[in-house]
Amino acid sequence: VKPAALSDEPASPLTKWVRIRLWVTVFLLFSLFAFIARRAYELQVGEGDHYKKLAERQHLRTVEVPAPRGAIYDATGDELAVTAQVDSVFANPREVKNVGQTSRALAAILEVEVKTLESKLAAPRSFIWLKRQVSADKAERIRKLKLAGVSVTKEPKRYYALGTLAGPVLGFVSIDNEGLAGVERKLDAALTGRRAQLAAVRDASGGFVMAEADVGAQTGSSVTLTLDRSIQFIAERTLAESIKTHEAKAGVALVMRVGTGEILAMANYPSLDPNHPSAAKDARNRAVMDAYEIGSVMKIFTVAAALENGAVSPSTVIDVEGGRYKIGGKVIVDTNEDHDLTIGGVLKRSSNVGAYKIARKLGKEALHRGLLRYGFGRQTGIELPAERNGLINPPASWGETGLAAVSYGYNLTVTPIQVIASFAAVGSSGVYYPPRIVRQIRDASGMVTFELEPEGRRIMSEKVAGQLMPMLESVFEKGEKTGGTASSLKLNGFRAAGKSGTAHKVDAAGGYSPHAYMSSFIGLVPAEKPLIAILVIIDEPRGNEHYGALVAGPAFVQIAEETLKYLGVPLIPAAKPEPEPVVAPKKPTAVEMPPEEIAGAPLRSDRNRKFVPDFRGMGIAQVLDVAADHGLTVHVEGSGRAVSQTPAPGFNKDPGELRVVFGTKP
Amino acid sequence: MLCAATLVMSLGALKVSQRTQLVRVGYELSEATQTLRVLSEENRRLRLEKSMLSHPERIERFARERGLRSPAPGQLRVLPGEAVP
Repeated sequence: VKPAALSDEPASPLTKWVRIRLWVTVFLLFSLFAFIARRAYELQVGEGDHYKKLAERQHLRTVEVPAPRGAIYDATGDELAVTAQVDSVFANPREVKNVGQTSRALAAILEVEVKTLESKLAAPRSFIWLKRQVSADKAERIRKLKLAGVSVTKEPKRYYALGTLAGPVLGFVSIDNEGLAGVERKLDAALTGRRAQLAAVRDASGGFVMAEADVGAQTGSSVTLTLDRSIQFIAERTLAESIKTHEAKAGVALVMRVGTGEILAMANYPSLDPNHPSAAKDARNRAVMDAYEIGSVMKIFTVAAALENGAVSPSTVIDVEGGRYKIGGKVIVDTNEDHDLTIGGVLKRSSNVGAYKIARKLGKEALHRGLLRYGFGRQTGIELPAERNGLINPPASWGETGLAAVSYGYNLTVTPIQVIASFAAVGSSGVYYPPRIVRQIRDASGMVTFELEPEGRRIMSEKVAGQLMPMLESVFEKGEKTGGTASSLKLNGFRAAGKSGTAHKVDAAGGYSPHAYMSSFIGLVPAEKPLIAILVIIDEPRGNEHYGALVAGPAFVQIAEETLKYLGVPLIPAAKPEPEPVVAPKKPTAVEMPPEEIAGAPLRSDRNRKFVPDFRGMGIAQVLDVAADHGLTVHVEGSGRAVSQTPAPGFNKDPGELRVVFGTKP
Repeated sequence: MLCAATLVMSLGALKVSQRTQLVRVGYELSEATQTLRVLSEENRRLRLEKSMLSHPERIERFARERGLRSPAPGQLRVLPGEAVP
């Protein structure tokens, strides 16, 4: 249908005018639409990115939030350090409508001064933290206030599940989750994930469409340590007890697996709780960060170097001059007044004179080379920060007294980690395994990016290592006149090879203090096939004792016994058991029983009498088990734990049928 | 002309529909992400709690309170086979 104005009839002037106006209108409308279309194209396509950025600046908030940090596990896979999300409060001061009112409302909840908040909210910035890592309750209260320009977001926080256990080893992180100490610092690059960009977009209702912290964040790698938290606990508890008993200042206890270099426990006293690192006083990882003059423990390495060099043999006899020997103007003094000692005897009796005479046969240069070969004077490379080198002066500067001092552990400083790593080589037939504390690293997807593969290097011959073992075992031999320095230590069901050390500490005046000592004990267990090496160092015992065997020795024995049990090593009767009691001991407990009696070894008789164990406190299964081991027939009554028995514990000529009554009271 | 207008309107409606669907999926994605985050967080929290509750010191204290004691030499039996995690 054509409009009238467009009909074929001759146009009147009026109609013609209408047609002109119509075309003008069409042209104008078309031009308008063309302009709008062109402008729309320019805005959407031509300058789209530019305007998009401008728009995002208005309605998007971008906050950089640390990514979840990778977890740290112990050797059994239990968490030592994990990251969890906590609430943090931030503001966009440009959006805050009433600074004073907002500050007062927040101050009451956040427990921050109003002035501090006012200062933050008045800042000409678009983002500022008001308080980080607040409790869930406080965060919820702030959310309910719905204050303009104030928001709550999640960010990761580090938690250390076991508190002070292995604290100085694990280290800690800053509020921004940056590793500041310990494993956290050394492996910071691996543990740190990819930081997240918090892109918060508000919808019409004021809520977030796509937002929140870990969008785009990538969790850091997880690290599995060689530490076993149960052995760590044994070491820390025993060390703390020892330090308390001897009123000491500090201490270190290390447990290392022989043949791999894995550190199973690294105990430090005082320790620190990485959850509250600022509360710690004088806490650090002494095992790697402190270097000591450790004393007689170093005689092991003097002897090893001399045996290796051929300067002495195990049968060489050294005249130790009654325990006093003058060098220049100084006198070397021994604890004992011995005369002729074999090389093993020098270690067993810990003769300073003997060590010096062995070192003199060896020579300064050869001793120096030996100490360097055993790993002293340089870092072990363990995955922990701030490891010390220790110090070995050049042999040219030693002099004769310097040689004597070095031979028995003075005039050089060593770190506990160096000492245990070198000593462990004796237990692995002379092969040195660098100490390691990281077993495995897995990235966020679970792929293994690092796996510990122990690589040893020979630092002493198998022959020398084999010669040292019986010498170090003799240190535990009993006897007042001929026994070893550790004769007072009772090994309950296992054999050990070890050495004690007692060193005077340097005082403030630069001389050796007559009252301040460093007491230490190092050993390998079980001696017949060493599984672990243990080192205990007690710094400045202030009690009645200061000798290494008396101060650090008992802690060594306790750690050894408990760790061997934990590792499932069956404890066996010692090679030279204690004399059997002729008469029944006074109420022997299971712990006090001769080991072989419980071990199920052939029943020993004493004048045709059988030994009846003390069953009280045991469960039924255990009673049946132990009774069977002793060839006893047992009659069981009641349930629970054994409360009484007939006949009584001890040796019995004819125990007949054993009767054990069980009840609720042990 | 009418056909063109109808076509444009249809395309517009389709665009609006797709946009609406995109927003809806965006919300669903946001919700799913949030659920994943909450569950992951809960998992982390529970593992942390488990680790704290199984602190060797705590276990030892409980054991002693219940009359348990360390086995004497010979009382320890090592069974053959793999350890059960």
